[in-house]
Amino acid sequence: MTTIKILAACMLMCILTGISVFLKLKTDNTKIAVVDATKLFSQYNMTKELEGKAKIKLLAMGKQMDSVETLLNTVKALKNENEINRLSNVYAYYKDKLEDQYTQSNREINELVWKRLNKVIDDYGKKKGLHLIIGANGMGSVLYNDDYYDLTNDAVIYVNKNYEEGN
Amino acid sequence: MKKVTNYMLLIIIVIFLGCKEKLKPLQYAQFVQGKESGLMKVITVDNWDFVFQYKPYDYILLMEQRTKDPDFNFKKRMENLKGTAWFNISVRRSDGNISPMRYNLGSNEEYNQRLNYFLNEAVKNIRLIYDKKDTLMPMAYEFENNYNLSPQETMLVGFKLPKDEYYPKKAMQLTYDDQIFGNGTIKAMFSTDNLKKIPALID
Repeated sequence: MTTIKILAACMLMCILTGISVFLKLKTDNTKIAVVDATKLFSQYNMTKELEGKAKIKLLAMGKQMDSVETLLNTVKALKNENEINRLSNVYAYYKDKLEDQYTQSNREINELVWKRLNKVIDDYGKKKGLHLIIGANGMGSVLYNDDYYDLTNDAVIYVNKNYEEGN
Repeated sequence: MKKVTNYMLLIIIVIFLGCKEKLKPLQYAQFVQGKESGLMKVITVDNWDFVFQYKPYDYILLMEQRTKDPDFNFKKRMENLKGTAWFNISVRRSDGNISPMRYNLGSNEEYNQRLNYFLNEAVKNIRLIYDKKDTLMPMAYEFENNYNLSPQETMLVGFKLPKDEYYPKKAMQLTYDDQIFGNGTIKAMFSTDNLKKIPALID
């Protein structure tokens, strides 16, 4: 009878140890997260606002370029060589300017947004008790992940709340 | 009998909810300036601290009272403040080692540009969204020029609330677009809950 009791106690202890080990491993596993960096960047309210502002500027420049193009087409139809040359230069100038502006605003937005996001993602990781956040960006750094580790949506909510409320 | 008990319970609940916490001047000032109150927010971006401080009317009066002016008319001043919302926006380096005006300064001209920005331009980059729908532009603005004696620069800004709002009681989002140090838009939300929890000031 005593032997049976000892055996039962041993089995119970084994089961409890197994459960603890399983839970520990499970907790440790969730301390790694994957966040889609591209989605995080594009869905960040700051990015949307900055892109909105840049778009207005770029559209205005685009309209200037379109006007010059219309004029150029008119003089081409009239076969006025001097004017064609002059307006071709003006058109090329506006086109270059637009491309430069586009590149510059993209660079500025990237710089500004990541400067902000890096710190907020740090805070997010600490608050969630994560050891590692892997940034998936479609460039091949993460070849496959299922939803288990994916915290992209949660991270998007967190960074936007932080941006809007300043907490 | 049951009805009377219910009414009494209701009255007690109403009185309890209507009673605001009362604080003495020092505790009141500490409450308003404390992070826990939700009336002061510090947003850190790239080693810059942006401090947004909401100033309730009692707090403004408390600060102004320090002048010990015997002719100070509280009632009149309170009347002036009605229908407005006031904030301080401070900018400082997180390490607090140097005045923002002098940080990474290239020339005297650059210093003057920064000073001119804070004196005349920064006001255009500040706005308040009241109750998540009304965008308000500042009605008053002042840059506290401390001549680099303090490692932080402070802007005082006031907004006129929408009609029929005697004091700020709905959520307010203060936005400052930092054009001088290149940190972009900084926002701070002062929630309805935090505004409701502001204690009363007792002398």
